[in-house]
Amino acid sequence: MTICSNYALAMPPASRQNKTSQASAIDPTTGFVDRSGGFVLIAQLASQATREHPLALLWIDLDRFKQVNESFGHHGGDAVIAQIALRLRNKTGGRAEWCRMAGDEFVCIIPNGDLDQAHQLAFELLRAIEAPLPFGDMLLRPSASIGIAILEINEDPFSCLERADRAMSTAKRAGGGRVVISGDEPVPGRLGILLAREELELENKLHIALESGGLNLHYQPIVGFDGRIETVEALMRCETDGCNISPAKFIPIAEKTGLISRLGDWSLLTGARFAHRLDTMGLRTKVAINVSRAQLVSPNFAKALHAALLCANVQPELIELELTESLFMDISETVQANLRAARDAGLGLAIDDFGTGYSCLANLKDIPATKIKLDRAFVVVLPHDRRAFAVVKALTQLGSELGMSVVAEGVEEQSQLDSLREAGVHAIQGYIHARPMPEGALLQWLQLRGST
Amino acid sequence: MTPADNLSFEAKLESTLRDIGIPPRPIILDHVGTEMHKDEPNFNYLSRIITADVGLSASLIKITNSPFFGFRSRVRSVKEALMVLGLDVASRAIAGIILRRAFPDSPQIERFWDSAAQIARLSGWLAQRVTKNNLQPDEAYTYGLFRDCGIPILIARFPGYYAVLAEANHEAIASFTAIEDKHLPTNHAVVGCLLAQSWWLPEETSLSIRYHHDANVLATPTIPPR
Repeated sequence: MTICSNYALAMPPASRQNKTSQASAIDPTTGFVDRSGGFVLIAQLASQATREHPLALLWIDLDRFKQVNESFGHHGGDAVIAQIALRLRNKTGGRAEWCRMAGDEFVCIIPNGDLDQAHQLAFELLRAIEAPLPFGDMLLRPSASIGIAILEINEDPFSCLERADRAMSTAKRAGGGRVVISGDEPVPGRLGILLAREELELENKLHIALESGGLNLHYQPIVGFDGRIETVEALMRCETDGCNISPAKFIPIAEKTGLISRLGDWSLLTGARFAHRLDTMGLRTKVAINVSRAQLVSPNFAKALHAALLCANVQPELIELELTESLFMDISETVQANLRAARDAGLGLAIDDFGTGYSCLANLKDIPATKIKLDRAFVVVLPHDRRAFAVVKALTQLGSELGMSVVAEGVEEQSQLDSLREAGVHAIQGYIHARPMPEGALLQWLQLRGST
Repeated sequence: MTPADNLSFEAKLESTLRDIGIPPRPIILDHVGTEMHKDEPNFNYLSRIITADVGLSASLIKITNSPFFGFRSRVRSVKEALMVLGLDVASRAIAGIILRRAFPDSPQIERFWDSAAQIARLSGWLAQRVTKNNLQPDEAYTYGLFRDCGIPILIARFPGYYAVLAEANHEAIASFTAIEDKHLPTNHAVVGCLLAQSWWLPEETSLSIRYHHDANVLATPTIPPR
């Protein structure tokens, strides 16, 4: 199909021209009404909208279109616009009216369109736009950002249009290629809603980090009272443009978007590789890797785990899985089977943040754990809080009785360390020994320790 | 630490790096990824670092002009290839080119890669004829190339794997992966998925590899859970 024939097809049907007022003009490239015509059309259709038959506006802006214009000139850019306009019209058929607001910006006016329909249509349009577009002997990959606003009762149609535009900007800031509904836009002064935008930006940053090698594991040593480094805990670090995103921020986003499973599998493989590396260097230090709830509820977990061990060529005994306290909200049979399989394969199982939240003594009965990590809440109040000390001591005795190793986290002061030693705790993790370090720094740290 | 200690330390590091079973994500993909997310990607910079690798540049131009990859173009330079493909597609194309190199060479493995390349071309060709769900030829091509990459990994890691392969190839009823599961704690689909994930290929590609022997997914219209 040549560009010329598309161009002709994109011309408006004759009936459309009668609908709009005389003052407005048809844009020759797209066959859509132009900006002023769009305003007239929106006002006209808004006056007919009711609660039962609302009006929906979609503001569509092509992503990175400047590049197309720069590479192929404005004539080429227009040809691309014409083809995309054709796709848009084909998708909506008689369901909606179209307007070209500016160079690469369109508004789709859907009379009688509720939010669900508009949302559905927006995704269909996005998919239509994203299909590869033949241009000369090349294929382009267009994408777009779409904002949706539904006209509210007594709302000025132009303020609705502005809302659609703002929603589109949010979609664009979040990296484009997506749809944002104006309801999710900040109502002035409300913190909770601003968060939604922040989340989008964070999600985008996370993806950039993944694709540009910004995701890393750092390792924090866990040191026994006998001085042995029995384990290092692998902690995820995420960096884009030279600035760190705190795990406290990106983990919740990853959980929301489902990315957490990928991050989890990646840590498993990366951590297991590092364990192998330590092993071949003659250091029998285990690597503790955090596994998420999302990974453990999957019936495929055991196979993925074995694949990672096999690929890293590491002995299972050198890996410990750290289970977050939130896992214990509800321990299904699948989770139990997965943990049993891991234990049977020889991996260690550590319960993180033990003693707070959902983790409780009953878990010790259900889960074949090999280690408990006392929540830092017990540690920060030591040595002065004697009740906390008593709890730590009792938990340590209980853990020892069950054949588990007991670790205290977040230890920063010598007085805390002394108190924990007195309570009988087996090992310590915290700044007092070392901060989490990148792979190379940790290897050197271990080397230096070994030589003294 | 004396300089001599330092040296042996570095040497140890080197040797452990070589012993890793699953190839780590190639650094060049990080460079492409970094540029991809900039408002104004620096094509000159990327083409410079790609051109430094003569084999990679030649393969990238070849694949861009290959009808199986879905781009019927006649590009002559790396920069043109990047422009035509777009950086995300280029990133997948580069991953596919590097994949084969990431494994040690051996005569048996060579045959394996030749057939993987053929599967990739056929997948790309098929995707151009079956236009369903926006399936892109380049995605199908990449999938074809990575589909069985778990096999060379298992061969390297598991001495008895050839026997398992032979049995699975002659099995009439049970699925290929079911035979692997009988003898191993994992199978090539899971391993392949892991590699695809750790190279940050698209989630759809990773999941397609994960389930490519699972007939159940043909019956369900949605993507199964991991």
